[in-house]
Amino acid sequence: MCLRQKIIMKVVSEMTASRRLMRRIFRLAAYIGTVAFAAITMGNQFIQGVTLKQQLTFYFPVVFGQCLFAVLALYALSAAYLKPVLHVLDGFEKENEPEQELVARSRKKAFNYPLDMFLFLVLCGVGLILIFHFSEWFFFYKEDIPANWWLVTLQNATFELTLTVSLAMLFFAFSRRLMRGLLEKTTGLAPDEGKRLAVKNRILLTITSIVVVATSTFLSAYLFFPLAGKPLPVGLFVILTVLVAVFCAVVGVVTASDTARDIVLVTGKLEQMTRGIQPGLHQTLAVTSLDEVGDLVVAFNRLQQQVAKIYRDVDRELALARSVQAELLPKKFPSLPGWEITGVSLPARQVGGDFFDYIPLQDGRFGLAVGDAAGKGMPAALLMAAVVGLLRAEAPREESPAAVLSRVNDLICGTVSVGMFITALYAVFDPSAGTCTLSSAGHVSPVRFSQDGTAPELADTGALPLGLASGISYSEITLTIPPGGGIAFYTDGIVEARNVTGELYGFPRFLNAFRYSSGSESESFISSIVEKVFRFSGGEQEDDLTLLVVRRLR
Amino acid sequence: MKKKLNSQTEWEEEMLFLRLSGDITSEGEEEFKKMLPLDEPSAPVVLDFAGVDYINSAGLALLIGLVRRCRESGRPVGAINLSGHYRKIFHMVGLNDYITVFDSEDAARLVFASENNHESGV
Repeated sequence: MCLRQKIIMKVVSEMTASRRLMRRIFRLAAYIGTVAFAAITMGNQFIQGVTLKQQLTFYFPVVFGQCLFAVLALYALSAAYLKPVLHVLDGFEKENEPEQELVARSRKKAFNYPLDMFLFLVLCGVGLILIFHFSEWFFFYKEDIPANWWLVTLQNATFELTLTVSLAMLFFAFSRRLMRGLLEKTTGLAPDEGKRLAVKNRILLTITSIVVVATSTFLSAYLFFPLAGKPLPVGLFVILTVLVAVFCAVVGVVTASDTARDIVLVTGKLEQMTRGIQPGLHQTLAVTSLDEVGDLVVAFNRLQQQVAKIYRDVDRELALARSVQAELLPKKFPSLPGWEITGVSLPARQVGGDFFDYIPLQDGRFGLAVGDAAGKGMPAALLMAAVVGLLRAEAPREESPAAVLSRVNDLICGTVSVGMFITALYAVFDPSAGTCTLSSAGHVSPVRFSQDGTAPELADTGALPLGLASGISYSEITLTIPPGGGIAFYTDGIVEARNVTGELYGFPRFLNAFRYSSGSESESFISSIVEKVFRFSGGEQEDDLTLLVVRRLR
Repeated sequence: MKKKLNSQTEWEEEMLFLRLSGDITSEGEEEFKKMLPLDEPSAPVVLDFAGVDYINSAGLALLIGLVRRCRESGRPVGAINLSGHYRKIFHMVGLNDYITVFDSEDAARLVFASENNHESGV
C-alpha cells in the first residue's frame, strides 16, 4: 500500500459518519454528471454533427456548466435535505441516543431522499434543456431557422429528457444504497413513514426511459443521415446499437439489482435468524424501503411479534405448570430416627417427567416411589402427575409394593395413549427390621451400598413399565440394608448421560462412585454424583435427572 | 452427537434381520413404522443393535411397541450385538421376557432356524 493510499485511509477513518455520507453523495453526483456530460457531448459531436468551433465556443462550456450546476445543486440540496439524517448518524457514532423526534424525522427523510432527488433531477433536467435549446436558437438560428430544426430540437429534447430520467433513476438506485445504513439502525425506533415507490412503478419508469432513449437515438441518426441514394452506414448503426445496449443493460441491471439487494438482505437476515436462535426471541428485520419488499418485512416483523407473544404466553403457562409440579413432589423428607432420606430432581426442560415421593405408612413404615415418564415436557409431566396421585391413593391400601404397582398399572392402562408409558419403582421400608421391600415396573434397578464402599450392587429387578398392558403382576424383593449403608434410587438421566463422543455415563461409573464416597454425607454424596454426571456430559442435560438416597444410620 | 436412526431389512434363511444404526429416540418413530414388512408374518425377527449407541425412554417405547406387534403375530424376536449397558436396561424394563438376547448372529440363526424347523415339523 503506497503512502498516499495510507493517508487517504487514515483521513477516511477519521471522518465522521456524516462527512463520509456526504462524500459518497458528492462522488455519486459527480459520476452521474460526468456521464451526462459525456453522453450529451458525444451526441452533439457524432450525431448532431456540431463543428469543433461550435463545440469549443458554445456547446462545450454550456453543457459543462449545466452539468456542473446540476451536480453542485444536487450536493447542496442533499446537504440541506439530509440534515436530520447526518445528525442522527453522528449521534449513533458517538453512541449518543438521539431524540425520538429527530430519529423519526431522519427516517422519513432517508425514505424520501432518493425519490425527491429523482424528482429534483428530472425537473432540473427539464429546466436546463429548455434553457439550452432556447440559447441555441438565440445564438445560432434566430435569424435563419434551418429546415427540420423544430423536429430535430424536439427529438433532441426528448433524448436529453430521457437521458436525464435514466440518470436520475441511477441516482435513485445508488442513493437508496447510501440510505440503508441509517434505515437499518433506526428500524423500530421510529415509524416507517414516507413516500412510496412500488417496485412495479420503478421498473415501469426504467423501461419507459430505456425505450425512449433507444428509439430517439435511432430517430436522430435517421434524421441526420438521410439514406436517399446512399449506402446504409452499417458501422454507425452497429456503434449506436452497442452504445444503446450497454446503456440499457447498465440501467436495467442497476434497477433490478437494487430491488434484488433488498430481497437478498431480507433472506440473509431470515437465514441468520433460523440458524440457532431461540424461537421465542423477537428479532426485528430492518425496513429499508417503502415498497413491496418493505411491506413483506413489516408483515414478517408483525408475525414475529405475534409468535414472540405466543411463546411468552406458553412460557408463562409452563412456569405455572412447573410450580404446580414442584408443589406435587415433597420438598423435604421427614427426619426419621436412625434413617436419613435425601433427594434431588432436575428437569431437563421447564417441566419434567421424573418424580419421587414419600408416603408415610402404618407401624412406622414408609414408602418411597421414584419414576420416569417416557418422553419429556408437558405430556410426560401430566402422566407423571397422574401416577403420583394414584400411588398416594393406592399405597396405604396395600401391603405389598408389587400389588400397589399392579393396581396403578391397571388404573392407568386404559387412559394413556399408545406409545406412552411410565417406569416406576416403589419401595416399602421397615425401619425396625432394617429392610426394604421393593418392586419395579420397568425402572432402572436401585443400588444397594455399604458404608465402607465394598461391593455396591444393582438390585435384580425387571418388568414392563406401567401403562403398556393391564393385568401384569409384578415381582418384589426384600433387601436388608446394612447399618451405615443404604439404597439409592435414580432415573436413567444419570446412567444415560452422554459425553460429546456419544459415550454413556453407564452403570460401572455410577457404581464406582459408591465405592469412593458412600461414607460421606448423603447431601454431599448426591451433589458429588450430579457434578460428576454434568462434568461427564459437558454440562448439557439431555434428560431429567433424579437421585434419591436412603441411608440407615449407625 | 445425535445420530439419525436408520434400518436395513435383510432376509436370510427365512429370518428377518433388522440392522439398526443411529440413536433410538422419539425421532425414529417414522423409521419404526415401516420396519416390519408383512410378507412373512410369522418369520423370526432379529434386531441387530451393532450401530446403536443410544436408546432413550421414548426409544424403548418404540422397541416395546415393535416387539409387541411381533408377539401378536407370533413371531419370535431376538437381539444381537446389544451393548452391556442395554442388556441391563432391557432386563430392567422387562424386555427380556419378549426378546431373546443372543451373543452372536450365529447363535440367533441356530436357535431360530431350529424353532422354524420344529414348527414346520409339527
